[in-house]
Amino acid sequence: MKKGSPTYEYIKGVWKENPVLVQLLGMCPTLAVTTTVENGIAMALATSFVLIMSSLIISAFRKLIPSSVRIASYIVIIATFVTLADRFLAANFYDISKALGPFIPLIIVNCIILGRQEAFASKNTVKMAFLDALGMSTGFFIALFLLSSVREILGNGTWLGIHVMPASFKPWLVMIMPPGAFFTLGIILGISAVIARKTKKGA
Amino acid sequence: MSDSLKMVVVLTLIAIISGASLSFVDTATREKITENKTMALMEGMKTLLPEAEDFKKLDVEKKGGIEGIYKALKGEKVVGWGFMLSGPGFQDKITIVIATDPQIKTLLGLEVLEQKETPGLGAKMEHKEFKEQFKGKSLEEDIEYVKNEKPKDGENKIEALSAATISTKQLLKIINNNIKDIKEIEKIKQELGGK
Repeated sequence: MKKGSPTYEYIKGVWKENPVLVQLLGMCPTLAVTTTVENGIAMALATSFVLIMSSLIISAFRKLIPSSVRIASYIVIIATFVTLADRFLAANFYDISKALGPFIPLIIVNCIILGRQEAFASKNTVKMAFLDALGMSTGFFIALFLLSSVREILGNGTWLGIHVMPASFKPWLVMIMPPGAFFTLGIILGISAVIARKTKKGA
Repeated sequence: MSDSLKMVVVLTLIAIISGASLSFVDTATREKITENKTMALMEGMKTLLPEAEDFKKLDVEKKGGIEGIYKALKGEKVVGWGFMLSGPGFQDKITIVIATDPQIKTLLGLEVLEQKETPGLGAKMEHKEFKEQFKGKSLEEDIEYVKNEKPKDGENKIEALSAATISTKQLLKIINNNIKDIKEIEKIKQELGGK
């Protein structure tokens, strides 16, 4: 796959430049909301919406936005979409909005979003920016999904609210508390780094 | 167009468009969001006071953590009270609804509407086993808590959530303090005295 081809721009976000596992961006929501799979999925989807919409708008208007006020412009655009997502969740998925609490408004300062605008959307066509945003969103989704699955199964004995562990299993409370987030993230980062090194050697 | 003028124009345009879309979304969702909150409250009161047919909101001045006072009616008869209360928890605001008998002497139960306590510890206040404990507690004296043991029969105490004593303490504070305030409200006094 060549750099610059549409497939490459999509795939890179999933693995090679995965925002969480490789770039280590957006750590705050990654660590905080992955207590249950449901929350993890909701957070990933809300972030994806904001990232994709902001990338579309910003790449479309990239030639009109003067570089001296670009960051201010990006933040206003991102904040608008975040508020839209926040209100939408509160109106239609009240329980999820309650569970995610302040983390939805905090998407505004998620570095993945501002980072992609600065590094990609502001320099590329709408089509490429869309693929890039979609790829990064997929990567973010995968990371949150893995992390929240491990934490919910070990910390609560359930997966998406369904009991998956035997009745004799005593949930490891620490896994759904902040330290559990760091343990899990560290182990997942380690595993993905090993896989990355192995596949590189093979190629 | 000079650079600085362009800067002003672009940023102003972005802000105007963003403001317009925000106000549009706000109008579109505001009703639904308030409805969701009221529905959660009504559902909570219905579970606690199943015999009530209607809940009439009492117009009183907001004081302390009293967010709302509701008279539970069955026909014309008062069958109980619903109080929406809030106060600081261990990490963030806790909002609950409690139900009492018509005389505000006994607690019929409690539902948690909003809390952001530690998951797995304080957040367990939403669990049925914990909430069940409040059923039938007296409101004529403060409800207290004991740690790591079941309270004896007849004691006005509940068992604290393990490793979340502060959450428990704050929750009891919300109930105990606000009930005292509620009993001091003129309108409530009239209602209780008149019967």
